[in-house]
Amino acid sequence: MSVENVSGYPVKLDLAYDPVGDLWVEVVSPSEVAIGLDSIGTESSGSLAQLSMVPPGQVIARGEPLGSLEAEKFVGPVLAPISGTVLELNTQALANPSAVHADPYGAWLVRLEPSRLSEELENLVRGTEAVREYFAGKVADYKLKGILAE
Amino acid sequence: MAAEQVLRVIDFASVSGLRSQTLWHAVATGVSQGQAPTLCFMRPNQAYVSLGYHRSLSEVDLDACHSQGLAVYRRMVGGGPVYLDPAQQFFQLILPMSMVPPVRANAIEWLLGPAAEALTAAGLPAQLDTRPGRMEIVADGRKVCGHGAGQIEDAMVLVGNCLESFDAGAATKTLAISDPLLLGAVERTMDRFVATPQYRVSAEVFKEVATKAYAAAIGLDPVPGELVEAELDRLGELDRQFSSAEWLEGPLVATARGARAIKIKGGVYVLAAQSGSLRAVLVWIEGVIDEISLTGSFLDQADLDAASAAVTGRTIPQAIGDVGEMFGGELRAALGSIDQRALEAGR
Repeated sequence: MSVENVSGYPVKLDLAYDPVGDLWVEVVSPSEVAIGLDSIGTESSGSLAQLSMVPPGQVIARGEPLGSLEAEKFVGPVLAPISGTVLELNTQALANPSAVHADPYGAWLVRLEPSRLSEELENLVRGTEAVREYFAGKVADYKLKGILAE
Repeated sequence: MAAEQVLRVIDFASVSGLRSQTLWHAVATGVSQGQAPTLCFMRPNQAYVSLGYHRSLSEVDLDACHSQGLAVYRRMVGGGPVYLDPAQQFFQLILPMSMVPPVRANAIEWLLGPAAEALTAAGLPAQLDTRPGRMEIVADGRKVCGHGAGQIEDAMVLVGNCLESFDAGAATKTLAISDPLLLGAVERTMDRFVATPQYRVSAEVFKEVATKAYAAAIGLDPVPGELVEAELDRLGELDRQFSSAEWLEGPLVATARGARAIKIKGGVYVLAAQSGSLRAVLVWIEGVIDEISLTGSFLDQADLDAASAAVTGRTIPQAIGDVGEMFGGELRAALGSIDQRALEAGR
């Protein structure tokens, strides 16, 4: 599915989105999900300088740090949207944070083998209309709070 | 009175290199668990090297550090490898995340403003440079205060080191740089753009004014304080953690290929780029090649010098256009390996 513009931000409508960490999740199969930063996450974090993720094999629970990002010399956590075991890192994308910033849907950052997928998908925003509505609302909210520029 | 209704101020005075890192990390845990927002001051009683959370240990010359008796510690906040010594007054502001502006750039600007005000009161013509990719405190065009920031548990930490003077020679020796041309360019550029030793800075005035300015900025009354038991316990854990080889190694970070860039201050970088047998070491200042040295096996030095003169004063895209197929296209390729977007963004 192509990328659609919602309130000035590119959005892939066929992905699931974690409202807490501004991440997208693609369910590749019942035993594999791909995760990346969404366009609001990259825009609100500032100019990304560094990205790191925990190594393959590590078991992570939803809400725990899956990695960290650095922008403007500020280091902050990337919180896991889904519990599971890290399968693979996209080292090429992680080595080029500016490319991730420029095209957040162009590359996944980490692949997980989920441990509670069906249950935790309920925490994510899914479905074309729901995703459109979620992004429009989030952009409006972030603009109101000054997190995104008008 | 509830814990968050005052600004706790702790002046740790002179502490070891290790404690000049672990103390404020322990305070971050305390603030995260409900202790009052806290402003700390301290000064290391020995020189050492501190590495930003994401930076590769390979950027530091560990053998050189050990031979000079310099410890190396990894911090939990951002920025590059830095040389720290007793001529630097440290300060740290630690706030619950709920008190911090949600936009990181805005938060850093808000949190650095009082430090710039205090440095001015202490004797420096300090200004906060808020241009994109800069965001640092400068005086007379030179960097006078390093900083880093991060979220530790549920607290935001801003750390700063006011540079009363700076030993560029000692700092350069801690970096893993084998190329003498690059080494020389880094030291010269640090000397040119870091610290303003011609001004006398009063640390006591800095601390006094910074306390008032930070208290006013966050709207809380400053109250002298000390670490609580839980923070002391955490301090012991952090002392062990920061001394371990595993922590020093750092997180798994992929690194991009291409030109090596050493940031001296916002808008000022020393770069080394290579293509084939041609190597370029250049100083990039505010978008322009300020100086460049070209070397290469089997290449005529007079031709290399002429090319250096031709691209000095040009932007990198201009220089790439100018050099065309010179040296079989190697100079164009070397210059093309420089991530100009990263330099402009201040990364």
